[in-house]
Amino acid sequence: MNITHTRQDQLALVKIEGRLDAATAAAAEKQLVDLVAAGARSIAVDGSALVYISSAGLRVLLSLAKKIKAAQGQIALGGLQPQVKEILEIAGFSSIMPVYATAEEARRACEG
Amino acid sequence: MSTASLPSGGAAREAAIRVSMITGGIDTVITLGAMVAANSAVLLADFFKTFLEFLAVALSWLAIRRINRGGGATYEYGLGKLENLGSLLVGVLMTACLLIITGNAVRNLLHPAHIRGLGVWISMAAQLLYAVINGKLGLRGWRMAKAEASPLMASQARLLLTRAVANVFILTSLVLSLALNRFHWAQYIDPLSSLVIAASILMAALGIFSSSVSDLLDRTLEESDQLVILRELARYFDEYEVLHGIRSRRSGTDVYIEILLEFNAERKVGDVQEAVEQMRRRIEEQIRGSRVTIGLARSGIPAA
Repeated sequence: MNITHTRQDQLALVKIEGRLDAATAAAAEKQLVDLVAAGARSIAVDGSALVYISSAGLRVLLSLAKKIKAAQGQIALGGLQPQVKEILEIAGFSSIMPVYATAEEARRACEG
Repeated sequence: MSTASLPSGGAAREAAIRVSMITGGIDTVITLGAMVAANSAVLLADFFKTFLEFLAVALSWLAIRRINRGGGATYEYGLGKLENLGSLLVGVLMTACLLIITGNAVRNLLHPAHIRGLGVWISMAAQLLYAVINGKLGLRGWRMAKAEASPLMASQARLLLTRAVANVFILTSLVLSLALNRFHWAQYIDPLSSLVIAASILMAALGIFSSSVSDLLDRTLEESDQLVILRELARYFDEYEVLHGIRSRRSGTDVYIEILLEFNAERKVGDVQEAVEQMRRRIEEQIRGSRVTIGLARSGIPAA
């Protein structure tokens, strides 16, 4: 798993690559929490290279969504692969973080 | 406590295992007689296997008696781990049985001989009879294990069905060995057959080890159940402020889930309790046998 990000003022564009599961969740959570602590109020996640997400990975996204909400920001996901999108829908996460077809659409949603 | 006053499920499970134990005891005596009156590697292995299986069933019967009579206040988290330990011990006994059968088969492959003796005929009649009995008991146990999600009953059902298949296999092996005894190569049917039985026992033992050890080590819930918990946390997303953690474990048929949430300190206690109660009830409805505890934390001060 690899996480990279670019900042545009208070918006962070985060790209998650590989698997977000029990083995990688703790490291991912630390990186994302650090990002919010560093002043990112909104986060657009590019999930085009995220090949798998487990319940541990979903917990990371849930915690991140809570922190973003507390910061009165926005979180959005984009470019998800079908298997990852399906898991998010089964877990009901589409109701707490909007999912867009592309990462660019997710970024625009966070800017708006 | 009398048997009549036991919960119907527990009494039925105890009765089913008691019948298996008595059947196994009789089977052990018959296989001992057949082994003594024959020179078959399969029958020698069959005796050891049957004897070990009888011990395993007897142990399970003692465990289930303890569950039905001894639970209550002494073991407030239930006796699920006792079931897991019983299953694990069955697996250990099956492994010992496997080693005996394999060692015996190798010795007979190195020194082959045609099988003969009255014991072969005694065994053929017994295998036919016990294939029917073990098959019927195994299928009944399997249905009960599925209905009650009991690892102990599942291990017993696996054991009985393995025995039924072994009965049919041994019968076939003996018939072929006798029918083809004019051929030199037929001497190898007997030890090779015992190796096939050993392989089937290995598979059963591995299954018991993997499920029992995982539960004893408090393995967390399967992903499908974890998704149920997360779906409810997503449903009630606006009700709580922070998710501090989720822990889950299995103990026999029971599932324990602990969720630690932080709520807005300015909310009314009654409102928080209502949200927590709804969440708890919804998860317990969806995850069979689950007991959900939702701990409340104040900002910066996690609940004890």
